[in-house]
Amino acid sequence: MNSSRFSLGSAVAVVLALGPAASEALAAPPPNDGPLTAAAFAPYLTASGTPREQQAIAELVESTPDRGVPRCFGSASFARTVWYRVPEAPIAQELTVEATGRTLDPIDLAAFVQPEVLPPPLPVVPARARQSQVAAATTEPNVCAGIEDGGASAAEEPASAVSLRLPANHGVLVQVGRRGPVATSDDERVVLSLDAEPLDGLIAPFGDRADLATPTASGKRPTPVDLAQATVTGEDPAQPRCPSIGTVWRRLTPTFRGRRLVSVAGSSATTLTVFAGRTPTRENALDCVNRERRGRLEMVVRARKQRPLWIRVGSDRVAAAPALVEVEPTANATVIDGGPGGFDPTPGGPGRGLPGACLSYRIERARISGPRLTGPAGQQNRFVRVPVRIAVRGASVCDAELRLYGPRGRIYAKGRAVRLKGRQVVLLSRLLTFRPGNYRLRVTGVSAQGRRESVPSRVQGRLG
Amino acid sequence: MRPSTRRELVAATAATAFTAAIPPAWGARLGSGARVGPGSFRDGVASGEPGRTAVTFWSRISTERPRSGARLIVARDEGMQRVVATAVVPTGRGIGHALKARVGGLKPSTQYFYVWESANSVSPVGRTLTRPPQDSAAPLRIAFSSCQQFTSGFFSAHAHAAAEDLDLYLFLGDYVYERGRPESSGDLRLDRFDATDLRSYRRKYRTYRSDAGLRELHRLHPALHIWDDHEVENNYSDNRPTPAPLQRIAGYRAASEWIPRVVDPRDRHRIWRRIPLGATADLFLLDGRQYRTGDQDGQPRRILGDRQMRWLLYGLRNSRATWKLIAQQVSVAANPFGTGEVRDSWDGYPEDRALLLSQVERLGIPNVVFLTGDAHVFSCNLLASDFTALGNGSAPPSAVEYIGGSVTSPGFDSPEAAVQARSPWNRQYNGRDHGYALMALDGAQLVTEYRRSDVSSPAGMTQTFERFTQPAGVNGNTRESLAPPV
Repeated sequence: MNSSRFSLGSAVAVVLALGPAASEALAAPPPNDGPLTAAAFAPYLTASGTPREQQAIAELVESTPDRGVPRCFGSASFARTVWYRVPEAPIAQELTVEATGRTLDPIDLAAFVQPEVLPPPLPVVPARARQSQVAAATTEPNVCAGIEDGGASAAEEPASAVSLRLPANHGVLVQVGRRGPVATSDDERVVLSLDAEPLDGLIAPFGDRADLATPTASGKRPTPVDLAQATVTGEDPAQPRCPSIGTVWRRLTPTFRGRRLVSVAGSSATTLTVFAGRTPTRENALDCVNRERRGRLEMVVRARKQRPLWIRVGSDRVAAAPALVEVEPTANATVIDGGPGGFDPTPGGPGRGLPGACLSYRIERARISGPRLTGPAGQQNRFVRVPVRIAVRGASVCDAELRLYGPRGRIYAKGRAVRLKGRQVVLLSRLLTFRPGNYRLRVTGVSAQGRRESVPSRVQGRLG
Repeated sequence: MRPSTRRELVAATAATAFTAAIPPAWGARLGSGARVGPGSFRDGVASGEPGRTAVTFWSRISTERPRSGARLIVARDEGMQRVVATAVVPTGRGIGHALKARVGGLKPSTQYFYVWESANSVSPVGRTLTRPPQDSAAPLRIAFSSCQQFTSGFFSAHAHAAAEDLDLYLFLGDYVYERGRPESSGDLRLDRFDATDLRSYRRKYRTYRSDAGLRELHRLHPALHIWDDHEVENNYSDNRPTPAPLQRIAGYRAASEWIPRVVDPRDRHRIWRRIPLGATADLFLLDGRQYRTGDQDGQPRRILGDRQMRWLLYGLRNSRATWKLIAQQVSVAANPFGTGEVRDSWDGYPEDRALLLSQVERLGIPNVVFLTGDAHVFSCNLLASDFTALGNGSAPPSAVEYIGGSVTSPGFDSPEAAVQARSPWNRQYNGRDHGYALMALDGAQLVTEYRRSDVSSPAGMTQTFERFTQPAGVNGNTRESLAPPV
C-alpha cells in the first residue's frame, strides 16, 4: 500500500481486508477467474439507503485468460479476465455495466447474454439456485467495450461501459479484462457498477432474434421494421464500434448474385450491420455503420445466390420509431462513409468507411489541377458519366464531392469519391445537356476533423 | 450528401484551421476512429486547469447513443474566425457523455474562445485564459467560493463573478450536496433525490449545472476545483460508516466527468497539485478529504496523508513566487467558530497543522496564504503553529487564512466579538451572508474582498462588504468594512 492510503485502490483494499481470505485471494487466480464460477454483483448501503446500482470489485492481478472464449478486440485484449453474472429477471431490463480503475489503462468489457431460463414449475427454485443449473454460454460476445470502440473507452479520461436491453428470463455473463503488462494489484483492480433498470411490460418486436423465425426483408420494396422495445439476445454478435441498446433483424436469401444497396431510413435506427452466412457471427459480419446525423444509413454488399444476408438494425430508445429497410440490386450506387446519415468506423468494406489516412491529413494543403477543358460541348453529351482528368497535389481529398459548373451557374455533372489522390480520371454523372460556354470543376472534401471544406481547383475551360 | 449546416455552425473556420497541438498520449487515441455524433449541449461549456500553453476544455452531449463525439474549435476571437485548434473528441455512456480535451500549443496569458459542435447542435461560445509565463510579475485576480447547496438559493454570486475580470476561479469543495431535501422543506429550489451511485451523482451535477449563474461562470472563466466531503457524502472520511467503494468512486468519477481538470494517468483521482502563476504566485491545491486517516481505522491521524504533506512542504520551501496560495477545504485556524474544537477541520488534526505551520516558521517561508472553504462563513484568521502563543501575543503569525463564505449553504452565525473573544487570532467573522471572495495580488500586496449576494433570486444583487489589504512580507492585514450588515 502506498502513501495514498485512501485512494481508489486502497479504499477497495480496506474493504476487502475485512474478508478473511483477502490476502490468499491475491496469491492465486480469483474464484471468479472463469465463466462457470462467475461472481455476483452485490448491493451496498449508503447513509441514505440502498442505491439501485450494485457493485463488484474485480481483482485482475492474478487472473488468467479464458481459453475458447472469443476476444472482442483481438488477441491482445482480455489478456486476463474475471467474470460476473447478472441473474435473469422475470421482466426485461436495461443493463449498464461500467468499469473504472485507478489508472487510465484500458479495461475490456464483454457481455454474453445467456439462454432463456423459463420460470420453473412448482416448487419454486430460488433464482440463485437455478443459475448453477445453467451452463455458461460464451461462444459469442454480444456487447463489448474497449479502447478500440471509439467512444468513452477512447476518451481522454476513459472508462468502459456496456449497455444492453435484455429480454425477460435471460441472464448475462460479464467478462472484465485487462491487457498489457501486469501492474500492481491496486492498479489492476477494477470497480464495477451494475445498473439494472426494470422495463415492465416490454414486448419484444417482430424480428428481435436472428434465427429461422426471423422475418424476411423484401428484395423489391421497403420493409417496415418496428424498433420499439428491441433487445439484445444471445445470437447478436458484438460490434463494439457500432453499439446500440437493442437490435432487430431481417433476413434475405438472394435469388441471384450481385451488388445490393442495403439501407435503413428512420432516425431511431442508429446502427446498420449486415452479416452473410447461415447464421450471423462476428466472422461473417460484412460491415457496420453508425448514425451520425439525419439521413439513410447505407452500405453496398456483394450477395451470393442462396447465401442469406442478415440485416441488423440497432436502436437506443425503448420507444423507438419504426424504420424502413430497403435492399435493392445496384450496379453502380455510390456509398461513402455509411451513407448520408451515417459514418462507417472502419475503412473500406461495404459501408465504404474512410481510410485511416483521412483521420490525420491536412486538407488545406490539397490543390487540384488538370488539363484545360476544351472541345465541342456536344461531345460530352455522348456520356452518361463524363470523364474528367485531374491531378491532386499537396494532400489527398477524402469523401470528395465534385461538381462541374457550366453556363448560368448550373451543375452539369457531379460525382463523389472516397479519396482523390494523385493523377486520375473521375467519372461524373451527367445531369444536364452540355452547351457551349465556360465550365469549372469545384471540389470539396472532409477534413480530418470531419468538416467539409472547399479545395482549390484550377480545372476549367471553355466548351464550344 | 452532408448537410451544409454543419459547416455554417461556425463560419469560415476553414481557411486557417489546423490540427490541434494535442498531447501525444491523447493524440494517439484520436486516431482510434473518434467521430462527431448526434447530441445537444444542454449543460453549457467550461474550461479548466489552465497551463501556460494548454487548457482543458469541457462540455457534455445529451444523447441516447452509447457512443458519440463532438468537435472542439478553439479560436483567438469571439467570432471564431482565427481558429488555432480543432479536435474531434470521443465520448459515450461510460463517461456520462462528458467531453474533455486538453489542448496544447497555446500562448501564455492569452484569451481564447471555444465552441463545441455535434452533428446536429452547437454549444454556446466559451472563453478562457492561459496562465502567465513563468517570469511574469503581472497582477492576478482570482475568485473563490465553496458550499453551493442548490436548495438553499440561487447562485447569484456566480452570476456576479462571471462578469468580473478574472484570471481564475476556484471552487473549494462542496460543489454539490449529495443529499436531496423533501419538497415540503420550503426551500427556494427543489433537489429531492440523494446521490448514492454513479447514475445519481451524475444527475446531481446535471441539477446543479442547471443554474444559469454557474453555467455562465464556467463559460467565461477557467476554473479549478477541489472536492470536499459532500461530493461523496457528509463527513465520509470519519468512517461512520465507511462509504462503499462504489459510492466513493461514483462521487469522484462524477466530479471528474463534470469538471475540466488534468487527469493523472497513474492515479485518476489525485487532485492535489501545484499551479504556477508566474512570479506572482504559486497555487497549491490540496485534497484534505480523500487521504485522511485516524478515524476508526487504527491509523495515526493525518489530514493530507504523508505523501501529500511531504509534497506540500517541499513545494512551499522551493517556491520562488511571491505569494504561496494554498487552496484547501477546511478551516486551518483553531476554534474557527469560537465554539470549541471542530474535529472535521484541521482542529481535528493538530499534529499535521503544527507540522505544516512550524515548517513555515522554521524555514521563514514568507507570504503563505490559505484559501479555505467548507465553513459557510466569511472569516479571516491569523495562523501560527502554536495558537495559544499566538492568542496571547507571545508568538507572531506565520500565515493568513481567508475563508470565503458559502455560495448559498446556511452558515453558523455568531457575533464577531464573541468569536474573537474565544479565538483572538480571528480578524473578521460573518456567518450570515453568502457569496464569494475575490483576491487581487501582485508583487507588493494581496487584496481580498468578500462579496455578499442575495441568493433569493437568480438576479440577486452582490456587493463588496469587506476588504483586507495584506502587504507582501507581512502575515497580517488591514481591514476595511465597506458595507454594514444587512
